[in-house]
Amino acid sequence: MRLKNIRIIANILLLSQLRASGEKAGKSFFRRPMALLIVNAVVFVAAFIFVIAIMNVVPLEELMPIQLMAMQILASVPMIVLLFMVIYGIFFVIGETAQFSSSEMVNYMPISATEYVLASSLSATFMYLYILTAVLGITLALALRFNMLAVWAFSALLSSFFMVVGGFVSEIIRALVNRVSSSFSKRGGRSAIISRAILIVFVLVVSQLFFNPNILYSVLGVFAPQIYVLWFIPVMWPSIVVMELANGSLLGAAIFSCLTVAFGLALMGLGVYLRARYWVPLPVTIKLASSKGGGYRGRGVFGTLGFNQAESAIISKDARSLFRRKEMVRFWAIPIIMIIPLLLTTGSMDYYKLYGYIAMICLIGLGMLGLFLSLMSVGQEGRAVWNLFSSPISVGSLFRAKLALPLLISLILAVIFPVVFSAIFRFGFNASVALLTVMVLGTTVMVLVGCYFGARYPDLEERPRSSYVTGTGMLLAFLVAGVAVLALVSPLMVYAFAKQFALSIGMNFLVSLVATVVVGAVLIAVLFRASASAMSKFFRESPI
Amino acid sequence: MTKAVEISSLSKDFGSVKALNGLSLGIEEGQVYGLLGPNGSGKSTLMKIMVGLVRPTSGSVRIYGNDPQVDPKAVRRVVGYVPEMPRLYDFLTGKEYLDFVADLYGVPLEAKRERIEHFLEAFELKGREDEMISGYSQGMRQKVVIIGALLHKPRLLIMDEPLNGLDPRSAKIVKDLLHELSHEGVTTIFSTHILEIAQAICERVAIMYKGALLSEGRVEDLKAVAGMPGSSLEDVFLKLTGTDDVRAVVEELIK
Repeated sequence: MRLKNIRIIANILLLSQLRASGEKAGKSFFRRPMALLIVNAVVFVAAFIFVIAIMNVVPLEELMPIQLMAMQILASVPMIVLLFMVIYGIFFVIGETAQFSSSEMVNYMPISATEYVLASSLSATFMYLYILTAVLGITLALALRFNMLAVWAFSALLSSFFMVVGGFVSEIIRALVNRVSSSFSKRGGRSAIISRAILIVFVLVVSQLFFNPNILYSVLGVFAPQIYVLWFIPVMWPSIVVMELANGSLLGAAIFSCLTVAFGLALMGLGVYLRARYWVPLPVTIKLASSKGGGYRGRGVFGTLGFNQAESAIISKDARSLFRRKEMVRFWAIPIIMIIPLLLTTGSMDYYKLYGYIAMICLIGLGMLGLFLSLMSVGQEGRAVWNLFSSPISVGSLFRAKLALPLLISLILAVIFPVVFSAIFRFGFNASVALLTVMVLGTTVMVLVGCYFGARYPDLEERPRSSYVTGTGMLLAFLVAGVAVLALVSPLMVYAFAKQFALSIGMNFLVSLVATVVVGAVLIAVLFRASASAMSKFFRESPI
Repeated sequence: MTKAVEISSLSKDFGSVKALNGLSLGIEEGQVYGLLGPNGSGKSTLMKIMVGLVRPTSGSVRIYGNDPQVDPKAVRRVVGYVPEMPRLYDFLTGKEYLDFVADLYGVPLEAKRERIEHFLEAFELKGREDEMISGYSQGMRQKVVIIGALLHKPRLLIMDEPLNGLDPRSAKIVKDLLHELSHEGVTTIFSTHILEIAQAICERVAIMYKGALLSEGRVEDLKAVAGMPGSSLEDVFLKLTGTDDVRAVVEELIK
């Protein structure tokens, strides 16, 4: 094992992640590894100052519950950091484009698996160090306030170690998933694709729940007092070290410290073993049985809907892309992920809150779905876009085809969601109609915004984790979509939340609804023209 | 004879790099035409301009009388294109991809079924057609792209290094196919670095260098122009492109 090799590989891997978005690669200061140090320092100081400032304003008696939990929070930090890195590992696997999943330098360069695993874990640790610095900033403020500085120092040390250990776990996950997915896909055909999609959605839902502050707080409250009971679970060991140290038991702290280090080394060993054993480029052969008619497309569903042969072909191809590519699953999983917290947190709400909350969740969930699907519609072509550029299709056809799938999917859901929720929560007629109107118009607006920015700022580069749209495009799309939807819902919002004022200026429910429809129609008309024009501009010359 | 391709004073700049520099060329219908040139000589750019993928900086291109910039649909309808490094949709099966391409070109259902099955059989892809392309080898991918370019019975084939990665049998099929298609009036323009192939199947060849046309004509004419009548096309190519210092380079490398 050569330390120089580890340093070089870690640096390259870090650069590849920092420059993954492709725009002005290498030129920006923030795309250099050294810049991360400054970012981490800023995050640490900001988190620390923020918590100190809050604790200075909050009355002492209200800080009591936090004081009681401070020790458990400090003890839990290493475990939280580890879990974050595990989730990062899972996300990396989900987001990884298929053709890159088994083509890493470890396979063909004179680098040992140990060097690669260490370098990869270190680069991942450094890349996501801001999570640790944020947590350490917050906990330092708590430790200073409640006189636990020594405990904090040990917790920080163990957390840093567990961050690297988390990197080893990510490597284990990646190696295992690579192998399992290869064998599974080989045998499973279509069912493998469906199972993989379901698994990814499940992981995303669980990860989303993990980062929900309410749920995290409840879990901590139940889990933290059980640390000693669960002493035989290795991820608990650093927490026990912190608790032992706080209780003045140096022997206990030393024993569990040794165990923690041994656990970390064992995971590293396992990571190295799995890399060496399984991380080989296996050609994944997925065989799909032909459907009726020998697998050739006739007029099809989209033909029946009025699309021509070329348009139907593109829509079908994009639909297959959406369900067969694992990196696309995260986009259509959005509404599912949005619904879970809704179901978990609506229990104690009154009806007014519920209207607004459900409208917001539906609009954000489905709007985001539509926005993402249309934002990715051009970029997901990647370097295969030459197929479209070299074929005899018109810009109009391309635009219709690229708009159709996101619009169809999100509009179907935009009708189903409000109807189902109105029935479940027994909304009145006006509330149901308002929800349905806002959903249909809002989703259409967001799809068109996505279509415009997707065609204007496509990212056709193929990398381990393709983004399909540039950072600028994504940011602008979110801004414009936010402003447009706000403009769309404002008449109904004024009626719902400032009813007296609305009625005083003659805005009853019907007027508010009509105003929303008019605003929506204008927005849709403007955005439709803009999107068509952006697509036409994109189609003028092949970007690759 | 009718001109399939007419290129006049064509230039293309990529920033400060001149990919094509005032190139003029005419290719007659039914010819198998070879484009030769070292890496970076502008062959791929020229082909992309012919398909309408890239806009020229100046000059004009006519494909059967149509300008790819003005009426790209009309041009692409009659062209079958094989790019140099074709990226395919990895999530589709080979058959789904060909079905998709046939639909883009408006090939009717029965015709596409018949042609795809026919080509899959000929290129020995039968039995693998329902596998996702992600599991295909480079040669299999190349076969799929070549089939895709032929499905709609194009009048002009533009093929950038089409024999890359093909096994000898498939390469022979492609070569014989191009030969047969030329008898039916199909024009083929293809680039290759394998000069023996160019010599064997091309009626005419053009040697490009730094975006310009160095020499154009039948292989025998090129040899005469270079003053090397008894030499191979490789020797003529190296002399014309000024890259005949190979021996010195090799000697330097093995030091």
